[in-house]
Amino acid sequence: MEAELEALHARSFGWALACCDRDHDQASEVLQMAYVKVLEGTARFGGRSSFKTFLFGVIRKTAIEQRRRRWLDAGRLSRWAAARTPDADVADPEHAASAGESTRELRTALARLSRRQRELLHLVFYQDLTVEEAAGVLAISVGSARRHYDRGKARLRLLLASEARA
Amino acid sequence: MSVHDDRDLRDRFASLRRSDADRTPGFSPPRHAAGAAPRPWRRVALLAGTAAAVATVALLPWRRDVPPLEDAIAEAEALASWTAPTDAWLSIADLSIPDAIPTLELDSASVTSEAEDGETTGDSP
Repeated sequence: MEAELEALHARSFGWALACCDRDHDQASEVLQMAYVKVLEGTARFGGRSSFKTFLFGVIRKTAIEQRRRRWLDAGRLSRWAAARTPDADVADPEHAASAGESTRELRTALARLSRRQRELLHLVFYQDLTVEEAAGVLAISVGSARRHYDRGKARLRLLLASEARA
Repeated sequence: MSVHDDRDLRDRFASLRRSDADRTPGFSPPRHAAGAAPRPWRRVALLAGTAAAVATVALLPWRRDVPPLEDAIAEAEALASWTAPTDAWLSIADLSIPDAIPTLELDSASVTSEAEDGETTGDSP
């Protein structure tokens, strides 16, 4: 089990970043919690899907739980509301400088998509999953996943085009 | 939505993936989780706790304070001899309860002669 987790670690971290609005610290924390769930058997792999799909589902669920916990914390909620801007995830100037222009545009455009669209596009284009597999990770129907995928892709193209013009 | 367009998106995401890879922390499985599986003391503690709970529940009736037999008899007698203060209002001085059920005899019934003749019916014109 540990070997499988290690093999998927980089991709899992990328997915955790996507689930945590690209917050590095939160993604690390969520990933560790997901590993604990898998290794302790709290989350059990039933073999109905691939291990990667199962693990991504656990990471997403853990990220949602953490997000909910933070929202329930009133102090953090107010800080979150104050800090939240459409480009909050590219606020790290050091990283933004090191990333290429193309990556910066993509990150900015992704931040403007709905969460569901962003997650679907990430799973398909970043993680190379099929739409069907992505639907499994997100626990939604394939039809719904396909709709979000198509609309998200169209909107992402529009946003990228406007970013390029800006 | 041509393949070329998708290729463009895939290239952008691949670039993002490479960028993220530089920031990915090293893999370190949680120590307490890795060592969690072989912990026999946990199972022993769970079994001991369960046994203690079962024993407590089973022994509870025996630990209740059961009164001595003499006290129970005295309490029952007191209850049996108790009368309500308003019982005196129910006593009737001349009340005599018959020993036998009274029987109905022919002598006790009187039949009028008018009834026999049919004169008192009032139906005749």
